[in-house]
Amino acid sequence: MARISPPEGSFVFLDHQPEQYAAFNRLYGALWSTGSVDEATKEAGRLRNAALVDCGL
Amino acid sequence: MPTLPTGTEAANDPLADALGLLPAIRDRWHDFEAAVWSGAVDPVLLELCRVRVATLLRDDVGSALRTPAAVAAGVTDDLLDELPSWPVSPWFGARERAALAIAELFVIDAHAVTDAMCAELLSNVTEAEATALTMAVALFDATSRARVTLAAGVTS
Repeated sequence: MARISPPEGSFVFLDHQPEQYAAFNRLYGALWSTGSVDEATKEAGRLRNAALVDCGL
Repeated sequence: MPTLPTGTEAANDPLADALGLLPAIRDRWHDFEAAVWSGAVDPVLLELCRVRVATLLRDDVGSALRTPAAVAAGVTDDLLDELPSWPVSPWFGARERAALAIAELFVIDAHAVTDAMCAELLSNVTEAEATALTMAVALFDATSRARVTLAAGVTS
């Protein structure tokens, strides 16, 4: 069970703060679509970070 | 005293310098910061968590910054001087201790955050506030880590 329940009608706890969540997603999207580093390298960094913090998602 | 981007940029901030090279990311980074400080959580509680995260990561620039909204809400240097003693200091109540306990473990070992710690936080704040606090701590952690990584002067 999630430690913070999603709001009614949602499956994501971050929907408790839709403006913050949207701002985060805009930043996250910009990180993937901006700059000269190719997406494969960014994905390798993302996967390495997830492995180091043991995030199975 | 320097302040966060929601006020005036800090001098000698390597993260600000790097973000200046990528305006599209800088603008969205600042938009996310603004959303975090938009009032969903007490700015005093946010500032306590931000400074504690910066201190643990030895982010000297971040530790010295003061967020205008937090100062306006009553954060003082005397309060922040007490921050390392938060588990026992009478300056901090149950809400602050619950938030700071999770903020510290977010930095040190996120898997060490327990159900009981989250339940304690949720006995002091709403689920919406806990969500905002989680996003804020994630931003503070990323900001301090990026700033420390980008800082010049590390030679070994």
